[in-house]
Amino acid sequence: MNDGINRLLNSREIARMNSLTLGSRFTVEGTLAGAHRSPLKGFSVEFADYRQYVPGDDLRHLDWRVYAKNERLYIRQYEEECNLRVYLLVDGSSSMSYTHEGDSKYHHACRLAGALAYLTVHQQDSVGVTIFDSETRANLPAKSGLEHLRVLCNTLCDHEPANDTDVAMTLHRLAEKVRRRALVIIFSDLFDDLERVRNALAHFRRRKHDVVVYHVLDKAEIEFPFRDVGNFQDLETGETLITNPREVRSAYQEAFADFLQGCQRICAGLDIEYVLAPTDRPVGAFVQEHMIRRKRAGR
Amino acid sequence: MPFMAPWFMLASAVAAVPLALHLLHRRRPQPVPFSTIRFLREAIASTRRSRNLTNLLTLLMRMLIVLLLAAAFSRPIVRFTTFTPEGKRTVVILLDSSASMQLKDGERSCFEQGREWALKLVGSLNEGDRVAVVCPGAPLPRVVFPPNSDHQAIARTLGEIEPGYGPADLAESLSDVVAHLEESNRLVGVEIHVFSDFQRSGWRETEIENLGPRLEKQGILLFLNHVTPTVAANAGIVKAGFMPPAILGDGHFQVRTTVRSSLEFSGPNTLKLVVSGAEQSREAFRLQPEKTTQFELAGQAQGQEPYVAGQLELESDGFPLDDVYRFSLPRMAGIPVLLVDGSARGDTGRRDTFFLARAIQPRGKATSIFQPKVVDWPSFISSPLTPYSVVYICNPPSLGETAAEKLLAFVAEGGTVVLMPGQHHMLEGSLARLPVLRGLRVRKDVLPEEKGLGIVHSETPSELEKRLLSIMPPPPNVVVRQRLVFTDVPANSATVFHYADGGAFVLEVPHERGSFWVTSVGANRDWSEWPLTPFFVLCQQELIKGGARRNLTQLTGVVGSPVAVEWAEQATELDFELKGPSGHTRTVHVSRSAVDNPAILSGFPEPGFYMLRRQGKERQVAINVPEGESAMTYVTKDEAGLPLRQATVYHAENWHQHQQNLANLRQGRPLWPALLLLAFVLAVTEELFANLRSRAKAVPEALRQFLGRGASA
Repeated sequence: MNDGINRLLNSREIARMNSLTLGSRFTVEGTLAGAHRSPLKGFSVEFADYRQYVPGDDLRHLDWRVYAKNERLYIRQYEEECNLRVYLLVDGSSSMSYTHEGDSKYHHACRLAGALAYLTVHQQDSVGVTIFDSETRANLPAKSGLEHLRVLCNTLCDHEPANDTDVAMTLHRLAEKVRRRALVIIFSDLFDDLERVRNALAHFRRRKHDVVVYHVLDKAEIEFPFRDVGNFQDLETGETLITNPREVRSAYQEAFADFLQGCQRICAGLDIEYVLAPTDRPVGAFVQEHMIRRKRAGR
Repeated sequence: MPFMAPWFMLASAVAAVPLALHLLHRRRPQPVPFSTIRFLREAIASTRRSRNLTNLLTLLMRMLIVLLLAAAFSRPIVRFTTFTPEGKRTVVILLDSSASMQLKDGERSCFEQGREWALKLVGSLNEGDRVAVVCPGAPLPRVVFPPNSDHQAIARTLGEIEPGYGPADLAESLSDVVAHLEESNRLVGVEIHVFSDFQRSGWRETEIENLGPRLEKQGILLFLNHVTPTVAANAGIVKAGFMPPAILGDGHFQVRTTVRSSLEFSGPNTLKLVVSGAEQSREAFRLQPEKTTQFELAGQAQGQEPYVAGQLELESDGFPLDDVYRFSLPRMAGIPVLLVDGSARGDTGRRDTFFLARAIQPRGKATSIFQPKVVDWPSFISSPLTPYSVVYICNPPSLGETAAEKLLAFVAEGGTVVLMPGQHHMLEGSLARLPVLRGLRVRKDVLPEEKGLGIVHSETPSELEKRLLSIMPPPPNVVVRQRLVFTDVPANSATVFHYADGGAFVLEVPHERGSFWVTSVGANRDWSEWPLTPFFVLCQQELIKGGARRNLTQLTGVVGSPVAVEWAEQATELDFELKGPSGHTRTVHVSRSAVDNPAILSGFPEPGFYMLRRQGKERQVAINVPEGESAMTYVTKDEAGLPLRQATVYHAENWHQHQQNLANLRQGRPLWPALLLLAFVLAVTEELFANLRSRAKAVPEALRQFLGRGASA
């Protein structure tokens, strides 16, 4: 194993990944033959359909039995199976650097991305990564191989969240770039206007991508456990707000619950898999649990 | 509102501390980096109004707590409408000087404690305050009324008062004081301070209850100061009964003594009977708390004096006055009872008088107090009735005018006539001659077979019934062969026992000072088996005792009550020389309406033996402490206050409480406890309020679902 993945996962977590598989719910377009269904008809072993022969077709695929019966030329078509391309889009904005206890949200997102990248490479598929905030900060095209995994992990680890975020705009741009159908996994806190986020996610879906959203949140963001009056400072905008947490906790929780329900509703509406990923959950078990549930759901 | 320590109000400046802290707290919050404040902003916006309100309330509560604390320490006081300015009060001291106040409580008696308490009260008054003193129960009346402002003279008077040996009528004294105050028309700031042990026997609720509205109407404040002993341990002689109640025959007599112990007394004791200075018998026993025990001792009179003096003695305790019971028994021949055989048939009449004579003087013993004399009808008509107290008429013939007038005059003078039935029509005719019994109808009821009838007492027993019931219940079954049934009974008559089927057994019809008794059966076995029962004997003896009181010379009495002394002398105006126990001799003048009447003597201020002399004759009168004074059961504060609920009454059990009552009244009631309590309540409320406000409600349901699901799709 190389250095990269070891920076994100320990050996026990890696061992957990070895028994898992990651697939797309939809057909994907890959350049290499693989284990995943392609939208194209090819010439693999799975019969798909007949079509009229046109000049130029390979005569090897003519169905001579049909010709003998009907004296018509038909070409036998088969399901094309290709490799899976997975795009990991990791939100690297300042808000992702927040932590109340333990790992920051960004580090937790990187560990999740690393686990999924390992899983992808392990099953001989391609994986690419994009780190974004208001712009794309790093981009690795989808490739397979352990060397690529090492580079990918190092890229994730080397990034320091620092800038503002514009999740919607960046996702739009990335949706334009990823042309072939792929599995797109987004790691973000989605702290943006939900309507714009919905449009961006819809962009991916219009391009027939299978999209999974890992909503990475710190537990403190959900429960707001602060007790003393504090000068709360927004990590992205730098804005400050003085308040007594005990006075507003209930209202905060209600507002945050609305936000989470909004995210879930958007994803459900776009047939996007929504996964709430609190930073206090151990990565290995979390991914394993998710993959098992995904497999049971036939995804 | 005056303040006892106004400098503490400076501490109210501390109320600014919460405000300052509040402001300082706003300025220097710790920076808290947070991923986004977007939800915080929403939360703040949605809670702005309620937060402002609660913050304001919290601030106000904290400031109020400090202000309340400062105010509490400055000891504010509230004055009520009863507040009277210094120097304008009228204070009436009513010091109970009854015998029960002599009970020793430790080294000092209750009276001494009460007097000291009253002196402290006088000492606490301001110049100009007027004071009056009333001492009910004191042997020498010490009354300072109308009130005056010479406090030193008042204190001297209080110091000179000695407790008495009789009861004190607090209700009457209070009523008198209020009446005098009402007359004086100076009813501003009037306080009556009663210092008493509030013996239950002396607290007459009905009369006290009548005082309440008067006190309320005049705005008089009543202070009931309970000078009750810490430990009221007392054993005393309550009463003594003598059998016979006079020295008769050989001088042998029995004393039945009732000894009562108070709730807090128990232990061994000895009762001694001393006659003419020599101890004749004694009995050792052990007393239990709050028990009444009877003892019988035998005595023997010596000498030939017209009286025999002696005393019963208990071991001395905290209340020595009731440890000695003095008695003086007259020596007399006995009570003459006239038994008249009114029947023409002598044998029948003699049978009645035979049974009666045996009942009145069992076995014919001369030691009996009663001396029956049997006469026939002509002798009754011809002889005077003056020597007799009770006359039995058995089988009366038709009463002539002379006999009727004789009997009416005898009864009017206090005599008792018992009419035993003979021939019913003759009895009814006889009764018609007596105006008081004229309407009474009599019917003879001959029972066909011998029938057993029960005799029962009335629902409200008469005096005779009570006495008999205390000795022996009436027979449940007596064979009756014939009886008289009374109808149209006079309105003023009373039934003494009656048959189980409702008919009257004996009728008592009062007439002036005496009474007629009509029995339903005669005293012979033709009528019933009643004469053979012990109940018959007791019934006759008690009836005679009740009727013969005027013949009994009474030489034993109690302090504060008159004593009726039989004095045979043809004079209605009598001057006696009375020598008291202390040796002081004085002359007592007594008027009586008739020469046969006893001389009613009063003026026995202390217990002991009094020597009564006139024209060479003398009697010794024994005086004791009233029974009620030794009970040592006291009215509680609640019980004392209950009949006075309409008036403003303050209770105290010691000078400190009394002083507190006065301080509340004169200076105002301290507010600091209420302020401290309020501050405490506010502090608790503030803390609860803050906690309720800050305590996170349960995490919203939507959030809980998210957190529960974790990685959910």
